[in-house]
Amino acid sequence: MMSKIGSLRWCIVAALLCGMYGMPPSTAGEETATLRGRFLLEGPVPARGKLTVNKDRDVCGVYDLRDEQLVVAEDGGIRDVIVYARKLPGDGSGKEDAVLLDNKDCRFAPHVVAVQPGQTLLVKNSDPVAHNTQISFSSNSAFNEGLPPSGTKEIKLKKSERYPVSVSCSIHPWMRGYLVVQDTPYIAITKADGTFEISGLPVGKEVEFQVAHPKSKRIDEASVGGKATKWKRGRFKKKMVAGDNDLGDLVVMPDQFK
Amino acid sequence: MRSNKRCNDRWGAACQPRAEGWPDACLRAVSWALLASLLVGCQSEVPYFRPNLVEIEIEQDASEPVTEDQQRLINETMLALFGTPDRPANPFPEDAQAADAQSPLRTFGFDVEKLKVSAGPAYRDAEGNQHGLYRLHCAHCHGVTGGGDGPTAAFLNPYPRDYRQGVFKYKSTFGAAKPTHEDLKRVLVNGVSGTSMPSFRLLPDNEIEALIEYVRYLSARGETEIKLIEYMAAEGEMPGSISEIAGGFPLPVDDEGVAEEEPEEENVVASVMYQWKAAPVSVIHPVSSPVDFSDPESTAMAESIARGEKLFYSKNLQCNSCHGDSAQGDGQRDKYTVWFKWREDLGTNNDDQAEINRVVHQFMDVGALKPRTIYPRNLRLGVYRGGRRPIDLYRRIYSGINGGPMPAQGTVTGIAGDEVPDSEAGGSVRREQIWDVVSYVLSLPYEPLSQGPPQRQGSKYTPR
Ligand code: HEC
Ligand code: HEC
Repeated sequence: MMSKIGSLRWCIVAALLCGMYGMPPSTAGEETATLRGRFLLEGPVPARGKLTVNKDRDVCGVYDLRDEQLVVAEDGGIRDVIVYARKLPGDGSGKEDAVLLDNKDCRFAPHVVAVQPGQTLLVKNSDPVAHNTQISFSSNSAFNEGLPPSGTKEIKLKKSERYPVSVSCSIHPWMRGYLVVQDTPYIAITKADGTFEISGLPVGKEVEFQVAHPKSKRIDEASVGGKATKWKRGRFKKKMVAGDNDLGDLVVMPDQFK
Repeated sequence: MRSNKRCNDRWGAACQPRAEGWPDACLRAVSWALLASLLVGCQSEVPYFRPNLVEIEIEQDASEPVTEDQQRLINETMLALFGTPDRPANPFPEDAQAADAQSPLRTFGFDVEKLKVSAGPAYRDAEGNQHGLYRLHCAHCHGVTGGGDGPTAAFLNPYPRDYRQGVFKYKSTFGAAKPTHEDLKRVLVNGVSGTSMPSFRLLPDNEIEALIEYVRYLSARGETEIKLIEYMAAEGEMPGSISEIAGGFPLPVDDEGVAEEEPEEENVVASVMYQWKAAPVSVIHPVSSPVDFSDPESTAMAESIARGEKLFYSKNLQCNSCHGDSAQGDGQRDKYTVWFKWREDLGTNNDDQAEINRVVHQFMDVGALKPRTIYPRNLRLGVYRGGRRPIDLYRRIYSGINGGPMPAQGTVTGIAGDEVPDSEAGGSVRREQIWDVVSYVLSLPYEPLSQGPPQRQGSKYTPR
């Protein structure tokens, strides 16, 4: 899985990106740091079971709906790993924009959504059937409201949530998504190829990062640049330098997702 | 500890076979067992609040293991804050009066005198006042700790309420808001129809009041414990000192008597109590009804039922997708409630039977009841657990049923009744239409099933 081709490709991508970020920081404005990396799963790519579509089959049955608990690309890239800066609230800018959680093709799109307390989460139904949105918060008040076709709901949360909380639709029991509520703009969710990038981080400061995943809640062990590393409670600290801070490949063993 | 548990089980054994048929006999059996156990054998084994091992299991699955020392720290904190089943919030009882004066519970706005009448072993004093009400009337179902796991619980369906999540179903408030005092009173006086939860109508009012206070106490206690366990598993320490965890109460309030600000997360007990104090703000006031429910034969009612039927099967509401095309509650039976969140988290589609067995064993080993999925109500029976008045059903449909899959069709903005125009109220339907759905639901037990499922004009999507 840690194939040469995979890492080679990564080097190229990294080189390109480094090129971009390596440009002399513009004369005006402050320097910032960017954290990046790629999460890879050791071993074979886990199969994703077909979901049982037992309701509204004429609408939802036409999609090839698959389990999204652990989505791994051909080359091992892990989707939906969440990385964020702890105790680094930012200046509140960006909070005005709503974050979208769509009910589309009888699944939650995207599967994992990050929102800050005080920011609007816009839940939308793009399907021709009724959905409902049940969110099992633990710090905020539980939520379960109906969502008719083309309906929308705006939710504003008061508090951060310790773990990704599950979002489900009780009408369509196979539907499941996750919501990450953290009081920081410095948050990223890995893309389908396992890569993430958090930009705009303060320079010269030691920042503590949390690594989470909906299935395992925490990821607390990975091989970083070939070196086995333990992250107690899924956390690591890193002093940020101006420009690029590349963690490289972060290889996770499958038992992290048991 | 161990022998204490055995002692508990013994009352259970006396009670179980008869529990469902003759709750009264069972009550007596339990109180006799209690008395007997006080006289012989069990004197030294006072009932204790059982630590929430299920929650510890959930949290350490998500983070780090909770060590024995950490567990002890949580237990000691709980003892200092809430006391014991015999002495609520009176952990240092050498000088009873001094201890009471600084009772942490008083600070949280509990009526300690009421708690004392409910707590402790059951007996009648010289003046004929009943003490130990909770253990006399409730503990064999709801458990001494309020975990919904008393000796008879495993034999009941639905299971008795586990108060420790702070989640209640049959209430007048919206969403996850706590029940009001009146709501709890209604549950105690009427019981929960169609379940084993009995009516306590025959108890004098002061005893009902004392029991309500004790339910709030057990619930707040349980919720505090859960939050402490969450914090401990995630951070490896307590959120603060005992007085920080308690937090200040009463909180500063505005003109309308509503607390201005929510307490900080570290002030765990105050945060929980804030939710209880804020309950009245979330009461759902319905818009005025377009029909007169006292006249079920009127044309207006017939029209309302017809509109309600369309709505029930409409693609906006899709009530039939759970309650079934003939509303017999057979549309969907594979979801779990919050009381089995550890099972629900495995996913409804999980076909890894080995993993499921492993997890179910893991949790049942620490005291969880066998997980059961929740069935939507059979609406043909005309038995409504949350009350049969039209306003009860309006609130059920407006707000859904807390803790389970049934969703709210209204939103928090619209709870103020006619004061808020429909254009601003949000929700899946206009609130007036909810009354039509109520009309239809109330008509269902009388509509002959033999006619087959009604025409579903609104829905193109449900299989016919
Ligand atoms: C025979 C068993 C039994 C006894 C005795 C019993 N309960 Fe219950 N109780 C239940 C069951 C079962 C439920 C759950 C009903 C449901 O989920 O629909 C319940 C639910 C409740 C609820 C929750 C209602 C809601 O809105 O969620 C409260 C509060 C409650 N009981 C209080 C008490 C108190 C106080 C006593 C003693 C005075 C008591 N119960 C005695 C079985 C019992
Ligand atoms: C996602 C599934 C689901 C949907 C959709 C749903 N319900 Fe329910 N409903 C349930 C479940 C489950 C229960 C039983 C809850 C319990 O016992 O805790 C229930 C209970 C009820 C009750 C019984 C209340 C009582 O006091 O006993 C009524 C009435 C009801 N539903 C009406 C409706 C109506 C009307 C709609 C459409 C607006 C609807 N439901 C939509 C799942 C659903």
